[in-house]
Amino acid sequence: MTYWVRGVSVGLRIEGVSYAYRRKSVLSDVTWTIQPGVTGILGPNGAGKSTLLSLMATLQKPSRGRIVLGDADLSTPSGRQSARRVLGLVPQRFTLAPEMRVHDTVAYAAWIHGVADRECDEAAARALDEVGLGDRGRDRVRALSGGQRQRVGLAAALAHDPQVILLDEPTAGLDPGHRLRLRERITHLAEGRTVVIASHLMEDIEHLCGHVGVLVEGRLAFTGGAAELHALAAEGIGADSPGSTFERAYDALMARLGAY
Amino acid sequence: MLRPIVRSTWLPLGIVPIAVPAVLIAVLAAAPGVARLSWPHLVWHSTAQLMHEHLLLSAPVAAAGATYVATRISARGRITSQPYARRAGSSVLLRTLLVLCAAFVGAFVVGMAPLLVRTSLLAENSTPAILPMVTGLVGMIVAVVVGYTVGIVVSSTWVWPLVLVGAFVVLAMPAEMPRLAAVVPVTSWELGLQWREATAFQLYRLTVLILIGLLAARIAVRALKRVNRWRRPSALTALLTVGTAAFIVLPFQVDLTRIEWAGPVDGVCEQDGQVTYCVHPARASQLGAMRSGTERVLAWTGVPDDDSVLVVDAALASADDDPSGGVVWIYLGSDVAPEQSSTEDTAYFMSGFPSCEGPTSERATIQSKSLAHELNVALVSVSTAENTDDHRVERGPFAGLNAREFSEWYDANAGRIRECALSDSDLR
Repeated sequence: MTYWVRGVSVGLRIEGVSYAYRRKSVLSDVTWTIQPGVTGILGPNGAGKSTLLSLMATLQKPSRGRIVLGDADLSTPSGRQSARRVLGLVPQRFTLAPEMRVHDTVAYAAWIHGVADRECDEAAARALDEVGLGDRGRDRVRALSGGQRQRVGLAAALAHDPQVILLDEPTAGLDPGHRLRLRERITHLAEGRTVVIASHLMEDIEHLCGHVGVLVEGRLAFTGGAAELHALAAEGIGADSPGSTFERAYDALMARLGAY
Repeated sequence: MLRPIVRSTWLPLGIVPIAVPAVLIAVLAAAPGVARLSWPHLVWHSTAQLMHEHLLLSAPVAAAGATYVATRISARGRITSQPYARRAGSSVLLRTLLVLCAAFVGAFVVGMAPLLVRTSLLAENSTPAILPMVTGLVGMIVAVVVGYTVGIVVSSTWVWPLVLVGAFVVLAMPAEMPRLAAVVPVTSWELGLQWREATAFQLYRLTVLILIGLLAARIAVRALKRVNRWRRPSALTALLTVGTAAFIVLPFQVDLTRIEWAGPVDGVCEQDGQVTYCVHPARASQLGAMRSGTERVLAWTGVPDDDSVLVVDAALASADDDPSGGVVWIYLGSDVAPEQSSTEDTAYFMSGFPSCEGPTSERATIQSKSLAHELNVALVSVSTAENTDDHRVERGPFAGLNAREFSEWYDANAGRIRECALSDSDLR
């Protein structure tokens, strides 16, 4: 049995993890240690980012290898059960019931994550404060913008005060303003927690993450600091190619790591 | 800020998605029984049966309501339904079903309550039949569980109208396929007082309902915890599936005894000269009315001097009783005044109809049957009219006869009437 201490960050160890779906290899022998703080997983579509996140979230089990969260071995039922106390996941795609109140949505999310009934209202209020929606609790979800709905999803994942937060493409589909505000919130909530962000947006990774892993075709092609990643990308940026700086850096990086 | 009375974790969608179907269920459970509230006589036998017959409209609404709630809060992809969450699965299922069942089954009971209360006030010498009532409640619970499961598995909100229509069709099917009554508790068939669904049959149906409910709940739990693929079912789920399927198919292969006679019961009787009147104990208070209705006919036909007449509530008949066997069977129904039933059924008997239709009817001619019919019509007509000395039969072959003349004619032809052997020559 693993005991979790509130406010104490926990890391993740990924040890030789492989995963196959319908006989197709999605992840291949991934070994990586993720420290507290914000870590990014970068990679093109289909690289296995979401799969790796779902394995960390105990949604699926690796075909080979294991993931250890703190002391909890996620390959064992008791380890998964224990880890779920401290895990929060915002999936890439999720839906909200538009007719529900924002507060009720988050309070119910808190309840399904194990928060006691009497504490759910308080937990929802705290989580909504954390994502900057403290004053929107009584509103219906339908009254919120896309960015605010994304923050409701984040609040739902935070409601049980998890120590590890997994975010799958958190800024996908948001306009630049909302993306900026969401990044600020993520930076804020990362204090004292382990946050793992899967994204194919170079700018998200560069702005948010202290550490980065790059997945290419299911293999971990790079691990290191954001600055190292930037330097690696900068070497290959073609000044005359179209697109933003981030797009060109991403393209150069992927090319260097063999994604194309 | 005021603390909410009911926490949002119990009613995350608010009260409306629960309250609207609940009100509808209460109305639909009550509506088919409204007419009965004005009936002077009610028996538990019928009211208890209505507890499962009234599922026809209520259960589809309960199922569709549960489907709607499931799709709004726990459908795949909802942030409020995460397979990795600690309470995903049975905890979510139990809490949601608790709320839905409390609201929908409670509403059903509220809808049935006026009839139940009225029956408890009017029913005499009868006690509530437990199994039919339990069947009704279990039927509602199963409707909720199945509706919820469909919502979880399909996940699209727009499946609820299909569930509404589908559940109604399934519940209406036993009317056309009686064997399905072993699985579906809406039979559309009101049973006589001393007749009932066999206890084994009722227990069988309850078992099927419980199995369906358990299987649906099991599927719902698996769906709530499902990530991508359906995992291979556990041994328990496989066993439940096979068992439920076997229980559903069996009544189509084996003829299960559905209805049985509850056995003889001592009637409540009284004698008046040559006539003895008997009613079922559950209708003891209707004895006087039955006697009064019968006497109106006998006032025109008289009572044969050398004979005694037995006027008996048909609820006292056994399966072996011959309907033409010399007993005046009165089919008392709660929705018809007992006087009227008694008059009509006595007139039927006194016009010789049992012989026209019974085992000896091969000797009856078309003409004799026709005359028996005319006599029956005439008897009902004069017996239900104000009975005065100068009242005369208004139409038909007996038109113009007053009570005395009619009695004399009847007395003279009693033997032929009884044998369904009247001919035109007897009318002269």
